[in-house]
Amino acid sequence: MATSVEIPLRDTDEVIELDLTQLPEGDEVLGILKQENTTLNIWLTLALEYYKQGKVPDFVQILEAARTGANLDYKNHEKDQMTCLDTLAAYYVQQARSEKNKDRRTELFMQATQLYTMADKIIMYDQNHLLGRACFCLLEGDKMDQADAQFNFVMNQSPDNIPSLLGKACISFNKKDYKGALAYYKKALRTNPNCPADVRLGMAHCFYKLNKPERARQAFQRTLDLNPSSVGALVGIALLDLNNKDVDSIRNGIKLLSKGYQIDPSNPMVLNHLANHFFFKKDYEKVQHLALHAFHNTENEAIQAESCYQLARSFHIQGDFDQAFQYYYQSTQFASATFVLPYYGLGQMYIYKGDEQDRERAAECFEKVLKAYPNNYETMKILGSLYAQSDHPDKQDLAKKHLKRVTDQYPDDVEAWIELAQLLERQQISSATTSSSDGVQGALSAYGTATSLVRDRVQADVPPEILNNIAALHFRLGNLNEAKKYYEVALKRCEEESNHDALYYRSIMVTMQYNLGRLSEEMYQFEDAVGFYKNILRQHPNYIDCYLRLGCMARDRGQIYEASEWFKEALQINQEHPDAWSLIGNLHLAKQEWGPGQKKFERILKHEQTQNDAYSMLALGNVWLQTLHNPTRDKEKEKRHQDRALAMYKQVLRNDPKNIYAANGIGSVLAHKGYIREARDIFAQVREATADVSDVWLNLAHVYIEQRQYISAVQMYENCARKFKRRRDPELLLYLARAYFKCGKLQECRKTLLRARHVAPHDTAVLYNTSIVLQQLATSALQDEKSDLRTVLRAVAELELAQGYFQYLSKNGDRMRFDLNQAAKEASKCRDLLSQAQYHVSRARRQDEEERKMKEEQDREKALLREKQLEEERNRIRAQEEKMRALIEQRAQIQDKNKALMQMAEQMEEETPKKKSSGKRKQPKVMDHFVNDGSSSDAVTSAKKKKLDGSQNKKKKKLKSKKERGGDRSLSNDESDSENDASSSKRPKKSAAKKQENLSAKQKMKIKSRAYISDSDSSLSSDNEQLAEADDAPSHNQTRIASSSSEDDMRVDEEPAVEGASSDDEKQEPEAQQGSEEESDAQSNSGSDAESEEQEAVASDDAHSDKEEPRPDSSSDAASELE
Amino acid sequence: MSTQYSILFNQEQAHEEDIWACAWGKSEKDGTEHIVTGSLDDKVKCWKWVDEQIELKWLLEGHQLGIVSVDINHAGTIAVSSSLDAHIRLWDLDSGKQLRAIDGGTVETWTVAFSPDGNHIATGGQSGKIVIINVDDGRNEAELDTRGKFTLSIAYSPDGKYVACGAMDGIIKVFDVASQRLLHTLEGHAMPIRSLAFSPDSHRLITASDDGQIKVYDVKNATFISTLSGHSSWVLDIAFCPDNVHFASCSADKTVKIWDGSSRQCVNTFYEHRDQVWSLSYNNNGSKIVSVSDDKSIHVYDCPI
Repeated sequence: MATSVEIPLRDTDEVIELDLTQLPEGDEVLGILKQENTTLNIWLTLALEYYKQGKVPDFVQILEAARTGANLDYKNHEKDQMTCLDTLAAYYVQQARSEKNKDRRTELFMQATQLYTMADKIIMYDQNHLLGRACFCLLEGDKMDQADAQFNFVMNQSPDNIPSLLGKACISFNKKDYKGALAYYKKALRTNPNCPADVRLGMAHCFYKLNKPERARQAFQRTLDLNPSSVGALVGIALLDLNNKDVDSIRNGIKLLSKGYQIDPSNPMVLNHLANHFFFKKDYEKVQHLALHAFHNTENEAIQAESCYQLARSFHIQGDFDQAFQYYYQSTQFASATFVLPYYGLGQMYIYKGDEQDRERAAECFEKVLKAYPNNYETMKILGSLYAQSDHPDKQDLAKKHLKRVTDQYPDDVEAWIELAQLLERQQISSATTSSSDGVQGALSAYGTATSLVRDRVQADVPPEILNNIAALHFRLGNLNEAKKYYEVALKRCEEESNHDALYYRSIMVTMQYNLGRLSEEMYQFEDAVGFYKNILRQHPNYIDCYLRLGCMARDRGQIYEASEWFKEALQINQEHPDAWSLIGNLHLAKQEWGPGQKKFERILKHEQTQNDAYSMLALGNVWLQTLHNPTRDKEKEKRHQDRALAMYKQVLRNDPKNIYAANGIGSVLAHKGYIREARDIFAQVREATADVSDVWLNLAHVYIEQRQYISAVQMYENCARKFKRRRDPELLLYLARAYFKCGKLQECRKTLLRARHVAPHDTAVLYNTSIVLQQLATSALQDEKSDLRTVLRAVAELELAQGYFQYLSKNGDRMRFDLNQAAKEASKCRDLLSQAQYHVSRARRQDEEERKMKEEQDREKALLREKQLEEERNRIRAQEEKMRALIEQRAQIQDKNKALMQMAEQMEEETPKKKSSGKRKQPKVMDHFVNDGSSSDAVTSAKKKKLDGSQNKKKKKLKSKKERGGDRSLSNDESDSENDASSSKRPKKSAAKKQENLSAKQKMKIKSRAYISDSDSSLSSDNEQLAEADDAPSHNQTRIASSSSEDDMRVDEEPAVEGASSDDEKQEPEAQQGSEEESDAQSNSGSDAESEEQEAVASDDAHSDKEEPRPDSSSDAASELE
Repeated sequence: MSTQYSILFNQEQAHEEDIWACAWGKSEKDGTEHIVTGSLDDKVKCWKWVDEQIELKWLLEGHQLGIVSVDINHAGTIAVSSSLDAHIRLWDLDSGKQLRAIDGGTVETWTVAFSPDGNHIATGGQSGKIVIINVDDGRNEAELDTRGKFTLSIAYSPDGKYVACGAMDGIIKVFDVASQRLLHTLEGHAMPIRSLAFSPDSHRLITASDDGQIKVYDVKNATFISTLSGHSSWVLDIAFCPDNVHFASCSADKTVKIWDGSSRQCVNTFYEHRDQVWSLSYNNNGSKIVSVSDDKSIHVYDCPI
């Protein structure tokens, strides 16, 4: 190697010799070069010399000057020019690579590009130029194809060009064609066995990527042999060691990493890996230090992402979630599409934050993770439980999908099963109206799987929370005994567990006791239920639902005073408890104390939180509707009340367009205003929406009556009675009786009323109606001329009864339900009828006697006829006998003659006696014959008699009908004859008609006072039921905790009445919500464990994810809430 | 002698309409067992219990508007029936003849009950008064004024000392028969008491109410002993078993339940009827129960004793 450079002097042969070891200042040299017009090649030599000696600024200065100032007047100067430009460009590229300032970097890139472009113009296809350019393209990142083309070009010219081989290898590697890359590296190695160690490093990476760790290790080792300070190789071997996952290997790996760190303390790869190591060593300070260092020492975004991730992780695990959040977030900004771990962490941070929006963002993060790893089990599970928390049905469906996949892939995952069960359970609640039991069944079977897994796989006892939920589901399905069994086991488990976390388990035991109380009520074990509730109150005197339930039970037993005491007790604890106020209001309404009742509901509406309480609004609407049932002459007032009721119902509908009770109420008001058809349409729609509200059925039936479709009305009432188990409800029986009466089925009507009386013998309205029907029936029986004596007598007796009843009612009746004077009038009418009845009785008696006489006569005739026949017979027999006698005589005469002849014949003396005997013998024969004849004739006559009888019968019938006609005639004659009679016979008709009118008037009144007013009645009662429901609602909550299931069922059972539109549903909604909240508390309690476990599981499974995730909940919180 | 509860006999369509009342008696004279039933069809029927089934013996006609209550005297010879038309009729079970008809007043008759000696009948109605009627002449012998609501149910204690009645509003009153004094007022229920019964030793009184519950009281001290719940609807009739331990109840929930008074548990439930069960009665030794229902059938059950 030359130690000096000779610079030829201008125009002479002298040279200036510069000693390379003692190069002067760059400026000086430059001055010489310029002055002496030195050729470019010398400039280059000097520049490179400066570069080698590390005098970079001089190098740049000379080269920049050479571009313009150098002497190009020599052969092959283009080549040197190229070298000059390329070298300078390469320098700028290198500068750019290490430049961290983006603007500055782009500036450098620009300069490089400019230089390359200039070079392009000189010799386009110079190999070195192309290679440089290709490298530049590679470095710029997005021009890989361009670089590839340039490498290809070079390789076409010289297939063994090592730089282009390496370039190609690099491109292939980046394109994930590891085999191709490996091939290029190998070729380069073959071409030049002494090429730099980095080639081997590249090969090692290829082997690693091709999943050949042994070959990779060999290659790394070789690299290290060649270049002991190759950090890349050190890291490579370290990683291989670390991935072996046994203690020695890890120690070894760490040793290598430390070595790398010693060699290059700023290598981000080394730093990150060391950070990762210290993370597992739990030396978080070091982690932070290393990761931060790595972050600042790299431009590579992927590595920066990794560093941020390491940082975030260490903050995460130390509980500094704000910092962790920031670094996770930053990491996601840098991370490539495949590096999703920071998203996982970020998702967890969002979950920790816990808001609705945060949950959504968390879900987005996890969705990204899932996209990268579509079958990742933890992610699916987390997503499932995230979506499960949402109230949106679509999200819940997503959750269901995820959880189902988890349970499909990992049928042993207890938590997933539980989560799925809870989801199904909740979905069931939110879609309670459809009340399909599929969801409940699904939830139950999911719980079943979970419990059996817990028992069999985990070998642990089933958590009491789950047992409670299972019980609640059974409750909802009506498997009350099953439910009881599970509750009891759950309670027992709680007692066993209570030494772990006494506070928590005691609090959930309270819930279970409440649930058991509800269950006992449902099983009609009221005593047990009272025991449970009171027991709870002893420990938790603030458990309002217990007071409400106790009150409702007292109310259902008819102990109104006690009920109101309980409700007031509840108000002591919460002054504004809407349920308690509603229940008290309903008690007032049930007693027809409209004013106080109204005040209670208005109070609820005045309170800010409950100002839109639909239940209260409906109740108020019902109160106004109620007032309409009392007939008033004040049209203005009536209209005002109608409008008020309507306004209330409308308000409810505005808030909740699906409220059927409000719709029903509007229908009622319409019916009241006379818009029968419109009302009917509304009722029909309401009934289509739900068949579970008996009031609608009743209203429809009432409307049928208004439209004179009595048969339909009867059917509707009967269906209602059957469906809602109100067959002994006197009110409904009265409606039914009215319908029967209207369509003329008086016997049915009578029977229905008697049933009502049997149930409610004290009810004077029933008695009044019974009397009316008896009177009516008796009248028609009396008027019917065909009635026989028995019927008439019975009618008279019933008339007497009716009279007695009316008389009694005129004094003792219930003024609110019918007009006592009317009863008195009816009584006197009965009296009149009875006085006329005598006539009918005598008529019937006469008829009866006539019939009897007739019968006697017929009997007599029959007897006579028989006599006659007998006589004839006798005569005939006599005649025959005479004939016979005559014959015998004749014969005797002949014999005598013969005898005489014989005697005359003396010869035959002895023979005669013989003949005599024969003759004698003959005689009996003849007699026999006669007798026979006689008998046969007998037969004939009897047959005849039969025939005769038949004809007689016919005759009789004819006779009878004639007689009847005759009777008729005679009667009519009678009438025409005697004015009195006529009037008497007419009068009953009239009176009957009148009665009809009266009746119908009464019925109308009843329609008003019952039907339409009965609406009121029923709405009243309905209110009762509302009460029932209202109170049930809270209970449901609890059961809901459990499951909320019972709600629907019970509603079906208890809802019955609300004719005037009871608002049960509404009432229940808020409560239901409460319930669900509580439930969610409870669930979060139970769920919290699950979740924390789950996250632990995540940690253990995934080396990258942290060991301890933040717990989004805290069981102690939940417990205290329950308290 | 059965060892478990079971249905022994079922007579479908025993009446044309809902059956509302029944009673079981055994004649002291000849040991004949009679079951008397009354129905909405206005008819009282007397059945003979032979060979573990019933045979119609008499069809007793005369009532109007449906039979509310029937009873048989202790001697097992006379039946009494009352109907919605407020008439009481006495029937000779041997001959099937009506012995007497008594007009109870427009609305003053409901449940009828024989005194243990068979000489009197107690009834009551709208005014709340208990009327004691002499069987021999049909005259009112005494009136015990409850000053309460409609008297729905009446029972004599087997020792003849007390008569108890239950009213529409759930109030129960116990009178001393001899002095005709009101002894106790029991206010445990608030809904109609459709039936009540004394234990055979006359120490306890059980009450059946529309609130679905049965309450047991100590008669002498008028103290409340216990409440039994289990019926899902009104309890319509109740009867004490001659063994002094068990009692039976029937309800609008269509069931007949047998209770153990000592353990206070329901020991058996019959679900045989298809409609509400209005009345039931034990036979003289407590081995059988008869029940009647709106489903027009008569059921006889076997009970272990």
